[in-house]
Amino acid sequence: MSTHLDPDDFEQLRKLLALKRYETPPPGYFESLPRKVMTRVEMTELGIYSTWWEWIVARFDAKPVLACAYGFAVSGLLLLGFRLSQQFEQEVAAGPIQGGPWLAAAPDPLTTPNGILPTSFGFPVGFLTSETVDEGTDLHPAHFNNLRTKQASFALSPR
Amino acid sequence: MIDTAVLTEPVKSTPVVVEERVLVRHAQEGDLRAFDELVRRFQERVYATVYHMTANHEDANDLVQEAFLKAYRALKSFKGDSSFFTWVYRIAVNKTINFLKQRKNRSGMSLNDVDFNAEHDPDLVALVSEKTPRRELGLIELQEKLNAGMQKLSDIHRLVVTLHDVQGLSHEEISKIMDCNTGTVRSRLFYARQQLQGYLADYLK
Repeated sequence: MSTHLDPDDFEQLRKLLALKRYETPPPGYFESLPRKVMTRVEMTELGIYSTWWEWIVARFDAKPVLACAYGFAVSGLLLLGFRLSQQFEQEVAAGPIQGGPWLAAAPDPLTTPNGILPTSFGFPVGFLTSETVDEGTDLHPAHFNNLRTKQASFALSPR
Repeated sequence: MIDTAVLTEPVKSTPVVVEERVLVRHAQEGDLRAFDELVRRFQERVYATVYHMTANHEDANDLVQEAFLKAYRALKSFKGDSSFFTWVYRIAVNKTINFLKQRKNRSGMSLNDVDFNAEHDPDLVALVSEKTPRRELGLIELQEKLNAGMQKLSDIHRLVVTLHDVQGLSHEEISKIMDCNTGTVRSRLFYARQQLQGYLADYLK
C-alpha cells in the first residue's frame, strides 16, 4: 500500500463526498427534534426522582449552599428542641406544678368518695328530679311516636 | 434564568465559547431552557454524522435522541476539558458505533432525502457533465454508487470520512472525538479514501 499522503489525489472524491451534505432529513425535522429530546429529558427527570427524598438529594447536589443552609437550620431546630426538653425535665423534677394548664388534677380520695367528682352545675329550669317532684304526682313516660323527621332536599335550584 | 439577549446574540468567534460555557453551566444547574438551546445548536451536525454512519433516517433519529438524553444525564460529569460540541459528538459517535456493531442488516440510504439544491452545486455539475463514463449518470445513480461505497467501509473508516470530508471537521477535532492522535486520523482517512477511490474508479477518472 502506498504511504504517499497527497491530498490532491482525492480531490475528485472529496468533491463527491461533499455532496452528501445535501442529504437532509424530512422538512421540519429539526424543528421537532428538540421538542422530542426535551420531552424525553423531562420524562427522565420524573423517572429518576421516584421518591421525594431522591428529589431533595438531587436538588441539594446541584446547590451545595442551599444544602448547608438547610443542614444548619435542621441542626439548630434539633438543638433547640433538645434544650427545651431538658428545661422541662428540670422543672418537673423540681416539684409538681400546681394549676398547670396541661396537667389534670387527680381526684382527692378523701373528699371524693368512690372517686366520683361532684357536679358543679345545676339542672335546667323545669327539669324534674326526685327532689322537685312531689309525692303522688302522676308521672307518665314521654311518647315520641308522633314526631316526624323532615327529609332534607338536595335538589339544585336552576339559576 | 438565562438572559435572552445572550441566546439570540449573533455568532462570533470568541463569544461563542463563552456562550456555550454559560449555557452548559446553566444546564448543569438544571435549567432545561439552556439544554434545549444546546440541542438546537448542535442537532444538525450531530444528526448528519449519525445519519451518514447509519445510512438510515429512523435509526439516526433514535440515536440522536439517545445521545442528547445521555448527554443530559451525564451533564454534571462534564468538566469542560473539551468543548461541549466535542463531548456530545463523542457520545453520539460511540452510541452509533455500538449500534452498528449490533445491527446486522444495513439498509440503503434514502435518496429522496437529497436536497434539490444539490442539482445546482458547481462541483456536482462538473462531475456529471465531464467527458467520463459518469456523464451518463444522473445525480441519483452517482449518489447510489457513492453510498454503496461508503457502506463497504468499516465503521471507523466511514466515520473518519464522514467527519472530515462530509462534515468538514479538522484532524484535531476528529482526534478528540475518536480519542486518538492526529496521525491515526490521517492514516485512517487515507485508507478510507483509497478504498472509496478504488470502488468509484470508473467515475473519478
